[in-house]
Amino acid sequence: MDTVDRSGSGWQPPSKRFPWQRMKFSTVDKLWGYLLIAPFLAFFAVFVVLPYGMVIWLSFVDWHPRGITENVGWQNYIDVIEMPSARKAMVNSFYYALMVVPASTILSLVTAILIISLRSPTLRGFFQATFYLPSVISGLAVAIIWRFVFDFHVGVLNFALSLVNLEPMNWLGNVYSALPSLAGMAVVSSNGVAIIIFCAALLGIPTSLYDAAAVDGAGFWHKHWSITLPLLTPALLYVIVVSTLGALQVFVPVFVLTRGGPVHSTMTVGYYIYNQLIFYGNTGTAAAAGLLLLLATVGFTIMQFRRFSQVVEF
Amino acid sequence: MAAKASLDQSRRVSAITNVYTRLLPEGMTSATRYVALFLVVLLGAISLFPLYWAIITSFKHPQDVATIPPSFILTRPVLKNYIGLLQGTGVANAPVVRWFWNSVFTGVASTLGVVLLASLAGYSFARKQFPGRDKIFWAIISTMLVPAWSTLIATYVLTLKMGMHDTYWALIIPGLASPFALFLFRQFAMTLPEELFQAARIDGAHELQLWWLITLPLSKPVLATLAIFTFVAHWNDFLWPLLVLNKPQIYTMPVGVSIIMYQIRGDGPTYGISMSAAVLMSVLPIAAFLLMQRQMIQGITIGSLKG
Repeated sequence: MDTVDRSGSGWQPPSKRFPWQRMKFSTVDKLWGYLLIAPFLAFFAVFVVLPYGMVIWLSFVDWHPRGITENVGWQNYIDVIEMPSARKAMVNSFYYALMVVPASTILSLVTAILIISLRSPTLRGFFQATFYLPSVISGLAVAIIWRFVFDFHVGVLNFALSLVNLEPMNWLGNVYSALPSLAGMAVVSSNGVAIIIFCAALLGIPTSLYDAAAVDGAGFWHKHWSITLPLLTPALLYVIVVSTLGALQVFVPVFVLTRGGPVHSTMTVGYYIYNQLIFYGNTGTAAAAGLLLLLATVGFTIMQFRRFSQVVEF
Repeated sequence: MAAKASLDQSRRVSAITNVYTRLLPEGMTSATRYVALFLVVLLGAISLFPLYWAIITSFKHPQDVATIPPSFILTRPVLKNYIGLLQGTGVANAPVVRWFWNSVFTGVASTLGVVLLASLAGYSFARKQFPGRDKIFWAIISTMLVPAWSTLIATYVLTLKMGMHDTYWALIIPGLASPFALFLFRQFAMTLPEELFQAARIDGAHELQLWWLITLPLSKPVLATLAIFTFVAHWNDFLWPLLVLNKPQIYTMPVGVSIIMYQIRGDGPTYGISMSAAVLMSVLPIAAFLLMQRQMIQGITIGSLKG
């Protein structure tokens, strides 16, 4: 993206004034350029690029660690599409992303606005750190903690319900509440990065715009709708794309809290692929499901980019 | 001079403080300000509560862990849960200390590798001119938008065929080429002044010297950020080790803990052990964050906004 030439390859030592010397210099320079990225590219080619090809191949064959690899055509895709648990997994993943992404984006944006409107810079720094802290610990630790929080008998949530005289809920054991419970946990516990990004973006908005809006008599909502949101578009786009990507791949909470149950109500694409790969040894269906997820995600991302570029033009 | 400087400074300070006053509704300012403060404290308390709850539960006596009503303060702290965890309560073959070491060792090794590769390549992408430079760079970066699950099966099969499963190699090698690390380092290396490189070239330095003697010493802050992000991500990674490790001796901390969780079923008093496992897994990331808050927060914003 950066078009400025900062490498200084236009510079020549005084002795290399002649064209052939210059050419030689820049060829050596180019070779160094390639040489320095070579180690990175080698690992990148083997462990990132090669798997793209391999996963396409794997999705069309029946692969065994110690056996014959058979070509099965589109059978793996047909299996995935016809398998009720796979369809359920696709639906659940989208439903989960739909619950998590808007709610957590709005919550982080509101939190960031509240933090930035604090008067003391020390307090602002303190609260940024406070909100970021829970994001550095692993998803596994978070899920283990929430298992206790969700517990039917001794969990804090049901204790809170009992304080306001409500019946205890079987948060994770109920077909209707299991997936929303996982989504709720994600909304509350994974906002740190988004909040930091929104805070930085809010600080970048020129004050004069708000002053001009105030002179024009814009109210609170109008101000945020027509200044804050449009100017936050890049940050919003980044947060929404990244959190959609994360939500569509959710695995760890499902693995720790529900194992896909009850009755497939929390079966997600991630957990489905894990199941196919580890428990059934079906690399074919796992690969096909992975590629379908890839298509869906790329579609989503392009859609989000389009939607946002319209907003920017406006 | 001095008076002018201090005036400038006070103007700048007031400009900075003024930015934030524009975000809230106008009128009754001090009241809205207190409401905002109250809301921030409330939301902060909610987001920190699970961590607080895990820490105090992990130090409770097993009899006090699962009580109704729950006690939100620690009355008699004991280490019973941690001792139980380290002895592998009721779980055969649970070498927790070994798991901790596995995680630390592979984390440090892969961090060194990631930083080495990303700084070499990042220096080249930022400061060298060669055909296809930007195309290659953005092609590498765009793979960050592809869900990891899509190619995970292929990486699994690949590392299986290479005989890496159940070895440290499986935890170190596949993640060495990190697009995020490359991006972060390249963005930083682009901001270094070109004069330094020219001066060094006049003195006859070759490219590796430019990288080692000029770029790396000037990049200490970003190297620290990069190292901490890479280590914490590696430390927290659960899915990949879960797939490729089958022998208890080679487990990383998260995989081992998940196996313990699975076996003790974690209800009633054993929640104390679960919580101590969660706390033990979180100690290093939290310590890293407390030590390097500023670098980490800057790293996130570089990684997102300048892209």
